[in-house]
Amino acid sequence: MKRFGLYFLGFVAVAAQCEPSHARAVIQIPSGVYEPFFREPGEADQRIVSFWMDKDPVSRKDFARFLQRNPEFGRGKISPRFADSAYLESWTSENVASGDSDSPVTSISWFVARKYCGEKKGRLPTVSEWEYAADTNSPEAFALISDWYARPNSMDQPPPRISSGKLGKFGIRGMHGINWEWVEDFASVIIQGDSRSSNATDNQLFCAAGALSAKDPTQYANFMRFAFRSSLKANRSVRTLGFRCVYDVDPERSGPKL
Amino acid sequence: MNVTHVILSVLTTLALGACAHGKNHADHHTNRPVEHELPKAYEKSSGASASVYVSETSWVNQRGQKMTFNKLRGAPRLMSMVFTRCPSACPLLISDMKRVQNGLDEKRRRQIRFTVFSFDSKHDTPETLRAFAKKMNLDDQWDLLVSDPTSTTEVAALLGIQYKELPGGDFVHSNRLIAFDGDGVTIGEKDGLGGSVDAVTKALAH
Repeated sequence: MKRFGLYFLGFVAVAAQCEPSHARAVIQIPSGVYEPFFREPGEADQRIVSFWMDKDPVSRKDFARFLQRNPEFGRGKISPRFADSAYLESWTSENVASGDSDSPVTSISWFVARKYCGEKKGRLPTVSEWEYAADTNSPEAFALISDWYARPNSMDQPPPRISSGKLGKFGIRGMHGINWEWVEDFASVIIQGDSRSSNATDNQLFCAAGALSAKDPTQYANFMRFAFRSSLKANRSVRTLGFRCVYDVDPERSGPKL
Repeated sequence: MNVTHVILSVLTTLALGACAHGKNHADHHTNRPVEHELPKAYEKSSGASASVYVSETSWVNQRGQKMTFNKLRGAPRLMSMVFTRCPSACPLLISDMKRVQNGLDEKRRRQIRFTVFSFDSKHDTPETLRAFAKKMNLDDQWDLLVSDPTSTTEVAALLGIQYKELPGGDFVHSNRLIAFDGDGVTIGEKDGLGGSVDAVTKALAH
């Protein structure tokens, strides 16, 4: 009942705000400043321009609908350039998600996550936007993260329901938990065979020594997230990696461009 | 339960995994170029044996002609990415590509196309690409292409090229050459600047 009430409230709020094609809660993230976790030499704090973000990660149910409209992204049809063999691995058939359809969709590649958001007139968030929206440098975010790490977690457990996710600073749900999320510029973090010397960055990111010598232990989760992103490839599908979309502000409606 | 301990051990595993992963790919501590024979497992997971021509992104070349990425299908190609304001690495990357071109016999040289995508949607135009082609002394076998940021990101991902725009408008990027047959199947790769281009040349030679 409580859950239904929440969905209903979300629906009303969204319907009133921006009339999307179907009920989907989006939240405006205010403009602000993000202090990059890793900086190129001379890189300053980043100004984040206000944007809208899905309150929840994209669900299996949402994604099944997308596949019905875009069968070329189905498991049997998609090019291996776009998705590796682990793509939608737990799905029982082309368009049917196994398990709870209100869990976040995972085992999804960057290419397909991007197509999904593009279809919604949105896009994937940048690293900076994601980290800013998740408020990852704050003690509150660290508390959420340590709460999760302190409990036993297993890849074999059924994936958590979206509604069980914790709300972050801006009311975005489930950014800190067993599932991580794709970002548009995941590949920008680490440069191999760089055009300049980036050895320092490599050491900081890749090798445990860099992480262990960090001054602030609350940053371990951040190290993990950045190291994980830098190990990804755009066609890779990972069981604990999902996504959500963001939308630029439409200046004419002061709402999201939906 | 000691949270820090758990986090540390997970992190260490992950970081070590990442180190090993990096080693497979390029010797990034010495920045030595690495030519690849494509291992079977990698070929499978990267989709290298499938056609790269799966992108509908639109591009414009140094002659002002518009084309979609998929229309590049047909000729065998050596591809890379640069930006024309790049002071140091990009001319070297182009020079590596020219060494491949010069290593081909007359007949192959007429068949194989050299295709360079720009990272720099903001500054590169058909004019800057044309000027770059002239400055680098590139012949008619070369296609220099620019598009919007979203399309650029998609093609960079297809080519396995990583890049990042810096506040000053420059780009850090991987220096990578990828050879494709006419169907878009990956037949050779080279990461890093300078060194031998033999493997890539050989892949394109027949």
